[in-house]
Amino acid sequence: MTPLFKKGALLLFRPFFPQSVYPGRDGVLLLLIATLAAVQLHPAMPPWWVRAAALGLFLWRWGIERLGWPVPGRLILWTLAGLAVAAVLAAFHTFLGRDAGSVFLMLLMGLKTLEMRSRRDVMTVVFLVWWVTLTGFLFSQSPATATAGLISGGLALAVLLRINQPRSVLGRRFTRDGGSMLLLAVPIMLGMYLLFPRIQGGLWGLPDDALSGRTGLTDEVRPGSIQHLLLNDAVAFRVRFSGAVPAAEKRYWRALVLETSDGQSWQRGALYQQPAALEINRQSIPVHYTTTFEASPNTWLPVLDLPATSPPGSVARYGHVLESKKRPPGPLRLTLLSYSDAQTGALDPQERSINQQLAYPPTARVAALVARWQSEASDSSSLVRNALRYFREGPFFYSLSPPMLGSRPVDELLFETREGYCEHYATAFTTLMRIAGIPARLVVGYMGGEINEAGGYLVVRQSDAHAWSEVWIAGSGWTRVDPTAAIAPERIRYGTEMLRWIDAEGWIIGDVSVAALRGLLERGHWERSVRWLQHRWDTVNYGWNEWVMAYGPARQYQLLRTLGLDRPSLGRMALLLVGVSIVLLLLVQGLLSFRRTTRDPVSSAYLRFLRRLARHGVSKVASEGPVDFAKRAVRQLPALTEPITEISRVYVAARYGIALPPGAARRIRRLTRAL
Amino acid sequence: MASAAPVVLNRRHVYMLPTGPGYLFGVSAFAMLLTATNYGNGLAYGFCFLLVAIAVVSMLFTQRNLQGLSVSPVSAEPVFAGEHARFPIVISCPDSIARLALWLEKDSHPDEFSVLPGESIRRSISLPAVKRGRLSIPAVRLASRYPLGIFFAWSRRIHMTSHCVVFPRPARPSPFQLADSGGSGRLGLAKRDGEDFHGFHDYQAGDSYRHIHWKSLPKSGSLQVKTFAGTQQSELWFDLADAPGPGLEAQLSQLCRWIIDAETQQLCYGLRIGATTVPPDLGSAHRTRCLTLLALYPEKNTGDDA
Repeated sequence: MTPLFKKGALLLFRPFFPQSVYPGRDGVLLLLIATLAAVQLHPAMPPWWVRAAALGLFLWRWGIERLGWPVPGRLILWTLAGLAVAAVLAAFHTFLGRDAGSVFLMLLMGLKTLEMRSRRDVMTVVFLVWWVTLTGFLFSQSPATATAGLISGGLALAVLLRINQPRSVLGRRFTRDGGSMLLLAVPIMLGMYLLFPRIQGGLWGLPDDALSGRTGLTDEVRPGSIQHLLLNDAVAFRVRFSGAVPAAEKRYWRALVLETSDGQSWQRGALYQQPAALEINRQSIPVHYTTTFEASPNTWLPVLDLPATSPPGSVARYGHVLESKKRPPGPLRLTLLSYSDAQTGALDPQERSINQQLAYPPTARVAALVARWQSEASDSSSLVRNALRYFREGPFFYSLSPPMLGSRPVDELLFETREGYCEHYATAFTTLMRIAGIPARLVVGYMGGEINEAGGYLVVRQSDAHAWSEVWIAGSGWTRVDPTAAIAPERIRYGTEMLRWIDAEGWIIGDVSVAALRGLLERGHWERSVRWLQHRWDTVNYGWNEWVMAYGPARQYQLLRTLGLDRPSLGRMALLLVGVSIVLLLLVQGLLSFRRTTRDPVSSAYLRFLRRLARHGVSKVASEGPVDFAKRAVRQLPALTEPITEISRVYVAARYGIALPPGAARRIRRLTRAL
Repeated sequence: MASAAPVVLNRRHVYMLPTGPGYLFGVSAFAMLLTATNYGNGLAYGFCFLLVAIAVVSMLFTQRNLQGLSVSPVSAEPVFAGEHARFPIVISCPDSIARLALWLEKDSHPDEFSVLPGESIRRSISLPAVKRGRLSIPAVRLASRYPLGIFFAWSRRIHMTSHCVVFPRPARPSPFQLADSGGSGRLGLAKRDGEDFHGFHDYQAGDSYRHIHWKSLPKSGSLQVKTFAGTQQSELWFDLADAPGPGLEAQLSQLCRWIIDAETQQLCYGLRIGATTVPPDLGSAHRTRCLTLLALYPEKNTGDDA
């Protein structure tokens, strides 16, 4: 009879959907907008024809809905499907992986949209919209992408609600039910999100396209190679300290130690390949901190001078630097320990000889300069001091756009251009120290960083990239020497941004009075408000990184530890997940089953009549029917015969009659008022 | 006939399964989870879990959509065999939760319907009345796939007590020969002498509409019926024994036909069936009484009184 109740051979109820029913046009038009929103979520990655095809199919369906075009037949659909398959294969040579997969899903969604005939088809397209949204997240996980995804996913959800709702009931109830469903789903979703066991690394290995287009430091440094970074405001990593934040001039973040040079560029050499230990002699001040590294194709991990431990997933390399074993596609979050002002251990002969190697003999005037320092110094440390004084006193300039250096960069920098930034001075200083016979190496990383007052953490950007020197001094081991600090102390104290301001004012870096600097620092109110807003926004990004992008097994373990579960087994985690889900579900069910009991208006009007009669001294007995009660009431209150009889008559007619008389409740109420 | 206590659907009465698209959603969500795991993508995890959580919550909504509904039968109108019996039922929503997009099994108008908070809605269950007698209301189910269509809830079969009297199928029209009264003397008639107006009495169900004094209605506000004294109206007597036709069913069908025709021609008729005798009269109450006797024959105890 009813299409929904078709007898099935199964013992269980077999639901039957009326295939012929095509949902209302408004729901379908909403779905078309949802498909478009899902396609828009994807970056410009898909080849241009994907967007063109999606738009074409969208317009076609729009024509079917609005202009009454016919739904294309099977032949056309299969032809289009074949074309789509061929196009994907031609462009990607595969259906797997992020790029080919998402393009294929988009085309599938478009074709299915074109073909929709029944409610079931519409629901399938809704699921495809969710799929296309999900694949969009594989390209970007930014808050903006998440918002766009919520819009396309939410539109699809609205379609689902719309087509399953009776046409007659609309408006408030639609939004109310949808809204309360979303609201109740959020805690369950959060429970699953936080507790579902996360796995390090993929299930079947990441496709190659998971990482791309992210830059940072490079593992080869030549004068000028950092320059592009100095203008790059992208966040490199964020740090939250468990104690006080170290002073700006102590925040050296080492990423790479380069000890091999051909005279032009510096690279990692043979020592990098050897196993290394994080050996520290005098442990002065321990600094505990947690760093969230932004996604990067590079494996090195900038850490505070000097790291004492290598957390799981990372490995120590020569020169007290850390490297990640396998870089996840998203951000990486590590808990670290460093000691500031710590001393390293002894120097073995191989390390000493490598760190004294010169690519070619120095020019005569460079050799003479070094010889002069040597003659004035009693030991290595006083020689280093002499050299630093030379840089500080001699007219050297810090410039973000220095002239290019030729084949003898040290000579040219010292005696001709006298202009440059950290890389120029650090490479020159390292070379000079080696000429003097002191083991020296180049360290590349970041310097300083900006404290986000709103979030209480430190932001280090690519523009904070820095290079400095390390010399080996008997008694104290490898010692950091930053010649840039001698030339442009503002760089060290105020960061590169200050340098850019000075540059913008047309002043000479290293030659700015303290008052002028203070003036720059106390810029207008406007700048400070902008800065405040920027900090707030960065806090959002940081929180997002911490809880969305970098939420992996390590973070999950940490969370569970605070809940009192230390490194639980997979089984226990599953148990916890199921337990929490059940509790949340019961809570939601409890919330849902809360309801006000409302009587039907006729009954409540009749009850009021009974209360009124009870005041007159006639109460209805539970076993008494309304007719018998009316007879008894009339006998006892003959004056009220007419209203009592009429009320009973209307009530009985409404309750037990064939048709519900309209206005019955109103009539009872009016008559009761007269009693 | 008698309406019975309403059946209220509680949690144990409501069952649920995913629909076809619901299974598709399940498979799809699992594949989404695998994708999120493989890419270690937090946002994909979050999206997948949000969809799953919404589906789970929608399951509770689906169940709630049926739970708490109260269903009670209302007296069914008699029908003739061969027609469809319609059992009206009242579905009411006793609380503040609207019940949307419901389906009723064997609904006479197979369509979705909704019951808003505190409201009652009338639907009717349709069942073919094959043979005369007393037809019981069938046990039916309520179902709904509100709100997302990925879960489908249905109630267990709702058993109610309500009956519909099924009159015999009327035989082909065969005029009872008014002139030819001699035969058995039972299918006879007397001449109408006159209609001596006697007075008024209050309308009672079953009085002939012809005798209602419509003119007095606006004045008195109640229906008055004219009564006639010294009625020597022509009377028809229908007797089971006189009805032609092979077999009891054919005889009852013939009687049924005669009663219908007599009523439409406004001829007074009486009925003798088995041990029961109904004195001649007219009007829908009389007709129903006679037809009910036919429907339930040879049931003894019904129709004797009244």
